[in-house]
Amino acid sequence: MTDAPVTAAEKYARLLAEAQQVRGTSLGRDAWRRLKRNRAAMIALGYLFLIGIGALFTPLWPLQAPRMVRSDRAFAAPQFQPAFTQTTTWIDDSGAIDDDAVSAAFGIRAADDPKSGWFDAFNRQLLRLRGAIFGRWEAASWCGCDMLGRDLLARLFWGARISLVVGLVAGLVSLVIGVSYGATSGYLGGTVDSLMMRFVDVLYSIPFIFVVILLITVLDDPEVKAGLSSWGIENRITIFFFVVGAIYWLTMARVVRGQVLSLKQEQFVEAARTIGCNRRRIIFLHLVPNLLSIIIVYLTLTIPRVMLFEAFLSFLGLGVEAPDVSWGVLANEGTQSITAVHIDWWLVVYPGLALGSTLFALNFLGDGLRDALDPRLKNR
Amino acid sequence: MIKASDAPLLEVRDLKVHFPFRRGSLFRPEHGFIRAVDGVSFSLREGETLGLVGESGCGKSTTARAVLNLIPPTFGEVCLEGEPIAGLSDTAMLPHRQTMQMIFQDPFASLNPRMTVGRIVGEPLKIFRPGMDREGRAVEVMRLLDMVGLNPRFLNRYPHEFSGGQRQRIGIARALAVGPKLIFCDEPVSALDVSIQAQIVNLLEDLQTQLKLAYVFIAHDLSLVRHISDMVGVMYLGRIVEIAPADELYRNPRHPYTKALLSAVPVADPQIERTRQRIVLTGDVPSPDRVYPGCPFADRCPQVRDECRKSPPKLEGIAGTADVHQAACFFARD
Amino acid sequence: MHKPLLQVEDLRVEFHTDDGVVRAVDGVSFNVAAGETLGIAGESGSGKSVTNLAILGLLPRPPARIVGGRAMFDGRDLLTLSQPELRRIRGRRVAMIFQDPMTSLNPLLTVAEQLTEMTRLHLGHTPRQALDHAVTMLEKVGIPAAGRRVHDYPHQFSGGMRQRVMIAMALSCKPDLLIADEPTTALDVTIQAQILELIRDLQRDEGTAVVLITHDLGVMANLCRRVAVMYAGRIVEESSVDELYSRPHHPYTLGLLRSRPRLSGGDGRLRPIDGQPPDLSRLPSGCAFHPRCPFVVDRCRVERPALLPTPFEGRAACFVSKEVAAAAEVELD
Repeated sequence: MTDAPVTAAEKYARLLAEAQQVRGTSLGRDAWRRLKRNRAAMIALGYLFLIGIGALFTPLWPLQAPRMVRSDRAFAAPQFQPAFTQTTTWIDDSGAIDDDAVSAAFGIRAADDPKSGWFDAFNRQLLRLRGAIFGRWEAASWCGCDMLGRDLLARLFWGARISLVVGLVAGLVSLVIGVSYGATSGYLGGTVDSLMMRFVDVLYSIPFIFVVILLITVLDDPEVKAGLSSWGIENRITIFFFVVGAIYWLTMARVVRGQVLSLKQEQFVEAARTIGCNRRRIIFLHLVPNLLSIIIVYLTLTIPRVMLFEAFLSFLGLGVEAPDVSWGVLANEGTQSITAVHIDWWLVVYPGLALGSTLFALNFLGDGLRDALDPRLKNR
Repeated sequence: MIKASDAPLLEVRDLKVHFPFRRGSLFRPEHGFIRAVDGVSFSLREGETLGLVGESGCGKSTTARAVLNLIPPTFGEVCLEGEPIAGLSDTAMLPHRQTMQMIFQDPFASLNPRMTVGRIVGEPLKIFRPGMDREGRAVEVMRLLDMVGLNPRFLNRYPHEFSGGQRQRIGIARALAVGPKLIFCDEPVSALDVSIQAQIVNLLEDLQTQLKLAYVFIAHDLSLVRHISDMVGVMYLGRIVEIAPADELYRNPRHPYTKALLSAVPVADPQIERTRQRIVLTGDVPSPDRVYPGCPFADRCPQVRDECRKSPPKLEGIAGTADVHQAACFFARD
Repeated sequence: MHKPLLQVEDLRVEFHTDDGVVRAVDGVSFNVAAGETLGIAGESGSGKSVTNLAILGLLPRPPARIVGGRAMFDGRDLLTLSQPELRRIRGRRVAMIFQDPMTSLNPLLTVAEQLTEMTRLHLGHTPRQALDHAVTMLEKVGIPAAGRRVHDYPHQFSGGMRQRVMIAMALSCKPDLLIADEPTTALDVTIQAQILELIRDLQRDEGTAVVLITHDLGVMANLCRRVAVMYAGRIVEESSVDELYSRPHHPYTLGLLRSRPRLSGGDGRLRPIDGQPPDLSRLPSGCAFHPRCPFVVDRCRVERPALLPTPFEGRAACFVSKEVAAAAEVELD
């Protein structure tokens, strides 16, 4: 006998390495394959990706400083001649960066500021990198300037950061609350379901714009502000994420509950009960992953709504606080600048374009995802 | 003295599952019960197969789900290895799920499409053997896949990449993972192509010999039930109307419903088909929401007599069969 | 010899899917004579339903595309007719019943409305005549109290009764050809027996030709005179029902027949067909059945066998059909 008798365990342990090589095509990968064939959705996805990258690395781009006020350039129209100019305010010929000037012009806190956090450090690094690459060069006011002579292009980029983050974070908050709540309610069913859904109905019936106004007024109270500050929450915008997320989960919860109600009749849920899965396991391992398509699609529809809502609140002066800026704030300023005497069209058109194109892209992506994830179109 | 092996593995006594319903208008509501299972009793020993046949709505699947406590039984006793389990909570039921498992009808709906085969089959291991590490679980899953005739290398594939027969094998591997003694097979092959059905039936038989499993085999295919079962129970309107050893039941059916059922099955032989005499029943399976004062089959029975409509016949042993052949008909002896 | 009522020649249907082009029906030919019953057997994906949907012009196009062949009915090629022309033939000359009666009955209309619509349209009945005719048809298919129940909605009927209504509707214009796609698969055995009996009686009385599509060899033996067996989009064997069940010439037919347990019992271990049903988008080379075939020879792997006459008035697509038939005679006894 040359071959030593191999135990079953050894045999399978040997096969295990081989098994790791065989990768199945998950439904997700299958959907991605289909999404790739949808040109509109892919363009939308690419566009959103570019905007995301653009916003994330904003300090890297050779843009003017977003907070730099120049009264001589108030309401200046877009100019392309020359396309690039040289700045002198925060960077000198040798490439040395003046931290205090940066703090004033960009809103990036200096390293010795006690409030300076990791995000300020990240921005500072980017800015340094920019100094190394572009030196003192910066783009001219391609999109014109606002009433204080601040460069609109730069403000659009800095505004994208806040607008996108608001959309994303509020969307995710609504997702987490809505999915857990809806799935639990749907799976438990019966009286629990009725009670949980009546609670949602009650929340629905409260006109939430008043809730938001109330909340934001409360938050503006100096005492509350001081309290929050001790928790490390400096900015109204942070609160804003949670408020909006906490409001937008209602519809998500209803959608998810409806799906769970039909999904829990499926045999694989019964099978999961038979092998002894507890409720939490069934809800979060068996039901929720199968709702992913609905959830993702719904998320792509919630994010634009949240962004619009932020714009709306900024319109009312309740959203982002100056000198911070968001697309909503920019659009608001733009419309305010329209008077009978002169129309500074660029102040309305460019923020509108930025907001509109992003919302469009999200909707296209949502549509494409719905088609790609819809199992009815599958030919299996 | 009773030897341990003689004690039944599963004993079901007078099991009832009634679903309350409300219908009619808002102002004149009608309340009642759907008697899906209405007094079913049977017992099963280790390594034995009980076939349950009957038409749709006769309560055969509901019986299985009630025994497994997936649907709470309304009434009756269920003893698994001598322990009463009817109506236990999910937590209290957990240890018994190691003994009792189920295989489902639809191989496309019974596997979670988002999980790999490895995770599907490994899930019961995760629940019942929490000490097992990832690798140990993977090895065990591969052993199970091998046992049900699947390539163990396909651990990381998803259910939709398999054909119907292969998926049913995955379902069987999942049921086997906890090492059960009893498996409920709810129409395990009726959704499969004819050429694949026999593969699965053979697999179930091999596993039975190998692992000394007991089956409750639920199907509407009478030929198949005869093939796989030791005992066969015929269900009608939530009750077992006749139960007997398989060969005895098919050779010598006593209940008129069993006779009609057997004569209605088309046989894959044109010569037999041309000469066969059929008992074609009139009417449909009646609705289980009514209470029948007499025999529930009376309305469709070709041999109905007056007594049948007055009191319900009990399931009684037929003389000369040592009570292994039982039928619920006043005239079963005739 | 009758002149064939329906003559299908070399029908080819393709589906365009994500995985590429799938050839669901690949050169299918068969004839149906007036008053005859032809059974088409096959598993899911064998193309049996697609064949008939194509003939009736009911395939969704796209994704389906009829790439070749003819379906001559009464001197006209059904495949080239326009939808309005087809609609005139469907219902009047060719009727169909499907597995699930609920998909073919409109749940919002009463049975009377649906039954009379057909006869008023196709036979020019007056409303009075049409209603009388509808009641007669329902009585004929064995619906009790037909005069009253004709005004019910489809959901008020049970599954078996609904299938009867379907049959009444299909036969109300006295069609020449009835295509029944798995008419009893969703029904219970005792109801199935009723429906089969009904189809047989109606056929005898009216002389309607029937194409019965089913996977159940028992139902087939019960109702058909001639049988075609399909596998992977092609007819692999066709012969009289007695021949086919006693002396099949194709290993797939033999495999199907011996894989089923018998009601009479005593068949020991079952003998399944090995392997899995073919994936139509990745068909094996040569004969599509060769990976599962116990009789396989080298030639099967490279060359596709043609459907050729057997010595017993049938046709089979197999290189070793003689050996198969000999083996079958020994085994199927």
